[in-house]
Amino acid sequence: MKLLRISLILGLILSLVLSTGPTLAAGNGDVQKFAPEWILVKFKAGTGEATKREIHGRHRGSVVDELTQLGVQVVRIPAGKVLDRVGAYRSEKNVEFAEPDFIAEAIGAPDDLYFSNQWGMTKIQAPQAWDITTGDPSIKIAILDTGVDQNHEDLASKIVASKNFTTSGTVDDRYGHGTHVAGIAAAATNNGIGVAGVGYNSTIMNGKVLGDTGSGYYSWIANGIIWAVDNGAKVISMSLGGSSPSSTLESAVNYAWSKGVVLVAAAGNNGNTTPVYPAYYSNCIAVAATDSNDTKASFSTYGSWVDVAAPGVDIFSTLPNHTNKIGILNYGSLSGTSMATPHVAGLAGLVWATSYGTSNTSVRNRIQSTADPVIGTGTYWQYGRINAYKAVAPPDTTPPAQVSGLTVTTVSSSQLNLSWAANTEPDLKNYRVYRSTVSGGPYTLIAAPAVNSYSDTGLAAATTYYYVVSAVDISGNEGPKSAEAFGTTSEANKIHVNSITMALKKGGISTYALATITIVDADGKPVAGAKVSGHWSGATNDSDTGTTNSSGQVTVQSNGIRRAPSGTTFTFTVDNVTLNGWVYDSAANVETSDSITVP
Amino acid sequence: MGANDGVVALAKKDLACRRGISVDRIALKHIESVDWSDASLGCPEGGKAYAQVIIPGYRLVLSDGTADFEYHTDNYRRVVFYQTINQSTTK
Repeated sequence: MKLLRISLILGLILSLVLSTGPTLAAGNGDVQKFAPEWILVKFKAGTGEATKREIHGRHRGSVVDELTQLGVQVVRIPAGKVLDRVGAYRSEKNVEFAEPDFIAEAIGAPDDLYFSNQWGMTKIQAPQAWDITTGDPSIKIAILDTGVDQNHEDLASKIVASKNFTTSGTVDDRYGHGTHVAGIAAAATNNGIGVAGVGYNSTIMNGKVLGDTGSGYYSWIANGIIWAVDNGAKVISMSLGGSSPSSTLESAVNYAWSKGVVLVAAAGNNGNTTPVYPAYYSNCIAVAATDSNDTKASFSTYGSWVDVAAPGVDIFSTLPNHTNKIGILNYGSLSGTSMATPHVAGLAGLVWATSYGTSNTSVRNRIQSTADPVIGTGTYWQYGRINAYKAVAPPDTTPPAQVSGLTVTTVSSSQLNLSWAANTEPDLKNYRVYRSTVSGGPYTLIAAPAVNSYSDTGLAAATTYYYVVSAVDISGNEGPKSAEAFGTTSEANKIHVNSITMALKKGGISTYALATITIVDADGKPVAGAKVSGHWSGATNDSDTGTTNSSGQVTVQSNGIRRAPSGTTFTFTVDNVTLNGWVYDSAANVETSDSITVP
Repeated sequence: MGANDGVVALAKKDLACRRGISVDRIALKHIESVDWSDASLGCPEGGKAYAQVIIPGYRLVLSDGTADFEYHTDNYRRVVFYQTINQSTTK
């Protein structure tokens, strides 16, 4: 009965929080809801009941249920303190893990009739984004294009302003392109008909800047930009481009940016890196096109000046319900960076409706920084293919778990190797390795490896070093530092002079002395590569250096003495021997100096 | 009637007007399917911008017996005169 009662209580609480529970950006960028008044805790094997009670008492937790087969306790904590208590429990050495009790929910797709044709929406995780925000009608997206069908069933209710800047006789869309673009950005969504628009509740300003053959003068476009800005657009979508730069067009773009508007433009369909305007201007988000496999569309323009990619191949959207030059009525598929652009514009509309929507800079940064780094990122485009879900997800404030299993292995007199258990959280960015020569610190950050190992080199011989390691996620949250581990570098390898053999050499009327120095290690084995330096005294006072061969030997020669008389003495003295990773142990020298006399 | 008959007829009519001759004297020498990269149908003008949508269509070469003429079209009814080309360079 007691268990039943607890279950009923839990069920009641669960039902209350299902729709209102707090949220957390999970490791993969997903935002998840969780129970606000309890968490899940598992203690390490062998932890006694008294210790468990002590820990619960310390964190004001009370056990309300237990999944005995899993050893997981459901622990009630003060309301609203979930993340705080999870962190507190995780810091306990006897706790194996502590986590929020996440709520599993089905992600609902909108009920638009043709939504299943819109692969791009799924690709950029738009449905998941709409679970967080569906935008706001006050966010106006200006579609600067060939016009928009004025009475299309899936668009008419979304159009809040229209103006014609061309020589066409109508603000309507006789070409067909603008209507398609408008549908991608902000078609009426979840209304049971037609298609969904990325911007969902965002509204549409129809600025007709391209004529009825799909082309337009830059002056028309510049006028359209100014009109959009001055009439409250938060986003300007331009699925158009030309090959000529224009100060007028650039000035219009800069005017919009200075007024806080996000500008999005098609990178072009030339299949090369040639600039296309206005996308090329730095205050526009330049958009390339990808296909359903997340690869660059063959036609898409690309290059270092292109910012992001978005779906642009076989994109299903609205088309005019009347004759148009595309030749398709009501709904259909088109391809081009024209189709990629409104995906980004619609997303900008959503981001404006979140806490990130504080400025056009913030909105643009959010879209770019959360893009998925699909193949081609850094080459074809700078930031990746947009991800609507990640762009609108609340900030992740949960740090990674504490690093465990840190071990230090001695490699040599100058190197220690570290390894630790891999952190399995999907949003892990890297680790931070800290070092100290004193147990307990203070520690100095020495490295940030992406993998769970590190080789610390360039260390002093016969020295003990102390390490701690932490994990860092992509949001910059750093987990608790690991338990300290230490290691000691080995004694340095030593070398010394084993012998100096002297000889005389005649050259014409001059006499020279030769000194052959043999360098060995502590075991008496010859050491190659050692640099020997020394000086001559007696008959000459020159200096010489040389490097030992595979026999550990090097021969140096003094300056010559003309007609050296009998009794002339040459003396060579070794001053130093150096070799990376070795120490010259002069005290072990069999001899340091030797002489030879002319008979 | 082929799928491209409509745009071929429009191109012939345009050339006949340009040359001041009867449509009957114009022959289709070459036709190929093309995906144009934007609404310019491969005939962009400086200082203008174009809808950046892939437009399926045709490249046509017509002849009036004295020279060849290249036209670009969409699949619907838009036909653009591109250039006059030498007979010798025509396939």
